[in-house]
Amino acid sequence: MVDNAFTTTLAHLGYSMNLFIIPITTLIVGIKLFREKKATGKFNIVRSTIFSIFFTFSILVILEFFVNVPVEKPALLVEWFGGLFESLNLYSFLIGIIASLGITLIAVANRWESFYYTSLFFYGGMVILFLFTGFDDLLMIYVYITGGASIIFLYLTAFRVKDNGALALAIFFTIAFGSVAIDIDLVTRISVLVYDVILIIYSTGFFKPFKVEVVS
Amino acid sequence: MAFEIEILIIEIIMIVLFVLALRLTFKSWRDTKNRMYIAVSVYVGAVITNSILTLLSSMVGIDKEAYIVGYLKIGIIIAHILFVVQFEFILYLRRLTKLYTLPFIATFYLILGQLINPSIIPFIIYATVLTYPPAYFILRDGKKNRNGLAIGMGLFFLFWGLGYVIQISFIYNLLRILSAIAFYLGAIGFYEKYLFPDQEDEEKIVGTWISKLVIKE
Repeated sequence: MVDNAFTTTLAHLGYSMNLFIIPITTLIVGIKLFREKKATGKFNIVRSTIFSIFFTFSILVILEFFVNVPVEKPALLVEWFGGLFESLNLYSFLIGIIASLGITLIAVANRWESFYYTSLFFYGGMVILFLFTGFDDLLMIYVYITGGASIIFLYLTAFRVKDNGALALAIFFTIAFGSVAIDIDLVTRISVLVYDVILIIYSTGFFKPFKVEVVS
Repeated sequence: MAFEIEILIIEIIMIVLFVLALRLTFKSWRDTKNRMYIAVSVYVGAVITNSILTLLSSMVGIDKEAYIVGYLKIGIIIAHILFVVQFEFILYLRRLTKLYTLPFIATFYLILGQLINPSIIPFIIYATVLTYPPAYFILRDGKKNRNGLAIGMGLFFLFWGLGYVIQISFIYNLLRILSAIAFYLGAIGFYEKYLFPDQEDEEKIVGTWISKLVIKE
């Protein structure tokens, strides 16, 4: 009973922290993106991808907050949000976008031009196929593979080009996807708090394990 | 029997014209090392393969309309292979490097869709999108750059696509042969010679014509 109360408290704390921290991080990344656009005249594709990841994540946590807090909410929202991976719903759809953008980020960071949008095309195809036929058997395995690949390649990229941003994202992805994959209540709740703290450190610019940053 | 002879004649014409064109595009690639020629050669290779498969299927008696897995037909698989090469070729021509994997992904989902759903409509939409707009763009670019091979490709897409729309055997076959001839003419430089003469020659012709008019007056 006490354990249950503890995890519920942790969950509400996590939802509430997410609701503020992730949109604020998105805002900071967005400001940096548009400031750079103003200076150079064009969008930086790496920053744009990171912004897209955080933007999608913001939508996810906002929806998650509204669905999970005990307040009056439209039944349609709860039904569409789903909250599980078993089939394609708003929750798994947004997680899928984040995982796909993770792969896009790897391709962009490594300048594999032919693969810039591959994961997004693949995921888009999956969604279109689902809309027309209701087939979503590939979703779960896709999210696990892309999520896993994103994490591995983000670490590799981070250590190869000594990029603090990539390393921060790699840690963030590890915890975020790890908590989704492990799916143990207490672990998930604590993970949410941990990645929120990491995001605060990253977005405020204090995350600098590599002293000399090489920007390609 | 008459139908089989008709297929035999048409496919042999197609194979001969495309093999001749392939020889020229491959030679051009060897001489210039321009990667566009290798892309054209791969495309021509795919068209030849399609014709050989059609020939074999009619001779050996393989039904191209037979289902192999789910609702997937042999004919559709061959068409998909051809469209992948065609799509890839268009992306290459327009230098859309970032979209290079799109043809494979689109084909993967179209085939997967066809495995579980009998509808052919997605494939028809895909084929239409891949046939007419590229034909227009290639013809326009070919005219702008005075490139005969591009004109040949554009006409090929146009006739080939029209052939698939007009499902009357005679017109379909006629358009297929026309598409092969149009492509072959592009490969041998016919359009450069007769559609786009040298500017110097053009000026000479115009000059002569004007001078004749002046003399008449």
